[in-house]
Amino acid sequence: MGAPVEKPSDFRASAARLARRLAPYRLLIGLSVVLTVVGVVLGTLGPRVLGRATDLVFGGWIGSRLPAGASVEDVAAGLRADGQETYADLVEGTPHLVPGQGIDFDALALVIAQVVGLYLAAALLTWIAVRLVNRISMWTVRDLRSESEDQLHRLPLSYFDRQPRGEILSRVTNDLDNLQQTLQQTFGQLLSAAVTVVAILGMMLWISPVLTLIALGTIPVSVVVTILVAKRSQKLFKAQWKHTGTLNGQIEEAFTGHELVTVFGRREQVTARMRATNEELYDVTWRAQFISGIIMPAMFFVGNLGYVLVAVVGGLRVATGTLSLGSVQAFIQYSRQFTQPVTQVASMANLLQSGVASAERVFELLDAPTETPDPVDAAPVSAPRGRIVFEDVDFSYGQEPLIEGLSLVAEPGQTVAIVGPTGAGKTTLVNLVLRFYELAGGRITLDGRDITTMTRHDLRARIGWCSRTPGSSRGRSATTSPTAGPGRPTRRCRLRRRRPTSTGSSSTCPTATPPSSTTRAPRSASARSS
Amino acid sequence: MNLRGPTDPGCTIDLVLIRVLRRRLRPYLGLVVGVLVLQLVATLASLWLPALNADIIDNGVARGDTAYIWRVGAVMLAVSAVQVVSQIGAVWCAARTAMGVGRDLRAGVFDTVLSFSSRELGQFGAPTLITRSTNDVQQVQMLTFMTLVMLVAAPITGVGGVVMAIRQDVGLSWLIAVAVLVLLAGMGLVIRAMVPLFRAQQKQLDAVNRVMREQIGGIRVVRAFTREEDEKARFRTTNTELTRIGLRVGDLMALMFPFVMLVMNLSSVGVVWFGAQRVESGAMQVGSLIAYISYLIQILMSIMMATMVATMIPRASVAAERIGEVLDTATSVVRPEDPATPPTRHGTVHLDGVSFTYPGAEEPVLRDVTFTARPGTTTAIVGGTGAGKTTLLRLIPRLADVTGGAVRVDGVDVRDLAPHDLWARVGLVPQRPYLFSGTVASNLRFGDPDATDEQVWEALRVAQAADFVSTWSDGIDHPVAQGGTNVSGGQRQRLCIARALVARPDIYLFDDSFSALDLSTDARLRAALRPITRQATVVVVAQRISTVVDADQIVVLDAGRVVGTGTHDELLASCPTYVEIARSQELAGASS
Repeated sequence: MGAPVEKPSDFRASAARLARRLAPYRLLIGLSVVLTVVGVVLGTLGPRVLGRATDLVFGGWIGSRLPAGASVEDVAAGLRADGQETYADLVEGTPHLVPGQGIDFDALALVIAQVVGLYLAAALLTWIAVRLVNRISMWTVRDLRSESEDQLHRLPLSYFDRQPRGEILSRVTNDLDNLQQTLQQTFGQLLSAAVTVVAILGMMLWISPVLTLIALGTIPVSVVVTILVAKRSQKLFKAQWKHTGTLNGQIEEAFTGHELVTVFGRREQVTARMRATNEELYDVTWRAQFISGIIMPAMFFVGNLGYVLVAVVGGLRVATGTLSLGSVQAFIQYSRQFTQPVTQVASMANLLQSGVASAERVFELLDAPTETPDPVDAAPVSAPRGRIVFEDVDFSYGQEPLIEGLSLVAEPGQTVAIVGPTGAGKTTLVNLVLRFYELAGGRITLDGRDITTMTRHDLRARIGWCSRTPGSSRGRSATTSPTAGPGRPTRRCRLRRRRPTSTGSSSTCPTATPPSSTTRAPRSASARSS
Repeated sequence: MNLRGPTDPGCTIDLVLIRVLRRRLRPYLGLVVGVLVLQLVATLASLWLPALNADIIDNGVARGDTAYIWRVGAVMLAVSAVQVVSQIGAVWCAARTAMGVGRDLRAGVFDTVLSFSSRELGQFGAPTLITRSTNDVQQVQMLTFMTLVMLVAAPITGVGGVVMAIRQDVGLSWLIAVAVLVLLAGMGLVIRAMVPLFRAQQKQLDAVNRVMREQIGGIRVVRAFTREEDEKARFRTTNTELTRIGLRVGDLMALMFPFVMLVMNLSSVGVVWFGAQRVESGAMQVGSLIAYISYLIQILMSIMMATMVATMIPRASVAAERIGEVLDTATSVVRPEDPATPPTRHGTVHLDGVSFTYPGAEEPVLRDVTFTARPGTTTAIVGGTGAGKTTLLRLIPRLADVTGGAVRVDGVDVRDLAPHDLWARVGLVPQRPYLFSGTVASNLRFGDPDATDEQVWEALRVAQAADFVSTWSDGIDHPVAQGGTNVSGGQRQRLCIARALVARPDIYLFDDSFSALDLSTDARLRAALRPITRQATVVVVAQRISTVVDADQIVVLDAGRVVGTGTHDELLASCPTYVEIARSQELAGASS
């Protein structure tokens, strides 16, 4: 609640694409739409029918006070003769009125049974519709999540060098979560709110166009109130998020650098800074909560305004016999239900925007250029020996060329050590053999065959690789395994280290197990400094 | 509203919430009373409206008295105005109170954590402490706000609604009881089923995050070992499970809305049916019947709102408990009441039979460590990982207190020194180089805010950092990101060394501070340090033997014990552990 709305850069295109993503579930969507519409219409009919029950009660109540045997016309004429003009109108205008007779309970029971049936059916249909919407949104998001996962394995490694890990992760988790909520709420609520508005409007017009005009008169008031409040509160919420971010940063910094803050005697200054931000945050937060908290009572007041007007005007019309009491009662119920879905639709606009923005970010991930596809007709590697040749290789991570015109031969049975200062490109050479990155020039061959003509799987299955782990800078080398057959490749990973140091910084060697959080892939020094 | 049984351990958690809130709400007593009074007025006003409406029907409509209708209508408008004004006032008081409580809690947690020693800090861990002072506080803050805005009004509406309804007609009050019970029972059942599901959902979401995080982090390993298909399968399992739990939660939620609507609608129907019989018998008027429906709906709505807020309680309780834990933890480093002043100020550090055990740990990290580090000399601490080197260093500036023996600076136990006095003597370069957001200059002036630009540059030169800082167009005003992530590891380490130099302390503590430097920079830096630290006491924790060969004294630690003390040559002759370390590195160094 109150998160700054991130606007999608191209709402139309992204929303359309999102809509296309829902296509596989069009049958379910259609069904849920039908169920929602029918459910809402049935539920909206309820008060109208219940109004007829009230009319029966009211008619019986008035009727029982009138002399039995006389007709309504006689009674009215008698009243007019007494000068009770309005009361006569009422008696004439009240349905189900038989002078001298009380409430017709048989008719009432029938009406009550109808209302109960309507409400039960409406509840059942709504329930099923919401369940369907749940499935549509969850399954769509599940599909997107799993596609994102597949995409992760197709993206070139340079993508991961450019994008911070948290950023990628946030698209797959936070954004998809947000999208799911948006889908669920917009689908379920937007549709039912819209149908409710139309259905209620229809009912109100049916009962009394004059009262409808009065009730609708309060709508611009509530819209204006909502817009005014939302404008102010949005600004405050933005400020709240900004200050929250600043404060969280300060807290994180103070706690992470705790021993430095202590030993350098900076506690007072750090505390004073946090206090100031905390105070600012308090100030905008309570204002933001207050302003947005006004909406509800204000809407309530506008609703009451309409209620009073409808009660008064409706009362006058019943008294003059132009409208039945049950109709007024139903109308009051409708007008009270009317403002809520209107504001609901308005607030959906914000939600929809943030949801589409999230979808856009996920689509960006899915659209990121993937690795060049493996050659389709790649012949499997036969009789591998493991001879690696770099032929006039050029490579760069970004603008600056890192490797230029490098040629190198590693024969089977040889152990080749690569030395050089940090940033010289040692790790890069290994990355290139594994085809983590594409060359800018030249080629690398394995047993005389350009590695780009093999599938990546085939190539990598033939290479044992030992990742650089943090804290250990020594003793890494890749050994090609000439013994690996085409069936089950043997993976060997040898550590070129004569003796482990007793300082305990031993490098770990991942075998063919899923990566754990402790196995961090190294990033090349030159990639980092860019 | 506690929906759990009395044996549920959750009850004690709720008590923590109440305890935390009661203490924190005390300064806002006036505002809280304000909320209560205003909510009472607002609720009474809104309860009066249906009664007025009934009045219009019974005395105006039924008698055809239009003047009466207008008069009562005006009263209704006035009542509505009172209602909206007091409600807005209540929101104002509630916002100030709840956000004030949040602000105070945040400040309280922050102060407590800053007073912690590294012992307590290590016990919690920085990440959870950050969550506790941000997210957890926010949870409690929001619950307080919602309680004051919605929960407080609920019992007033409930009780007031019942009273008003009974005033209209006593005979129908059983209908209210039935409706309330059905609503409560239904919502209770749904919520009871939902709480464990919410927890499971959170767990599964964490699992998906974890799998993703691992895959992105280990992407090279995955590809090098062609594990893509296995990883996809692993992800598919978690994804399917997350979707399954999500659907179950969603389906329960789907039950809620239609159920509540059904209860409300059916009870209105009930009022008309049973009310009709009372109208027929003359016990009730038609206007009362319509007012009765309004009351019943108001009562049920207030119960629903209260239940919604109540569902926030378990989460906020956990948050409150986590906050309480921090606030209830006292630092183990206590300021002396009557601080002693050492007779001299040289910076002699003496460890006398020091032992240290982490709370809850069985084995001590340090046992009976004794040595003296004198001014003008360099003492190196070497030993394997987990030998206790960093812990030992932390004892000197009282980042933690010894659990046995004593650390003395200039002959005085550090526990008897005024903390500021002690810290002014010590300069620390931590193991993990950490820089604060700001500029290079603001970081270097951390220990001495009054240092001149010249002093800052001098420190940079000694730390072998001047060359790269001068390549930046903005020099020492170059911005530094939080944690120093925008400079390389080696640069960060050198800036941290420079920061300690600017403060010009008597005692320098270097915790493995040269590890990210290549050998030649390491040697140049140590040579440049020598004249600066001529008067000072230097204690260095090191991994590389080459860093410590020329130290005046080397202390060899093994599993928390001193196994050798002396110079490089002496130790080579006498200490087998040292010989082992030296040899392994010599060979490894030769081959790299």
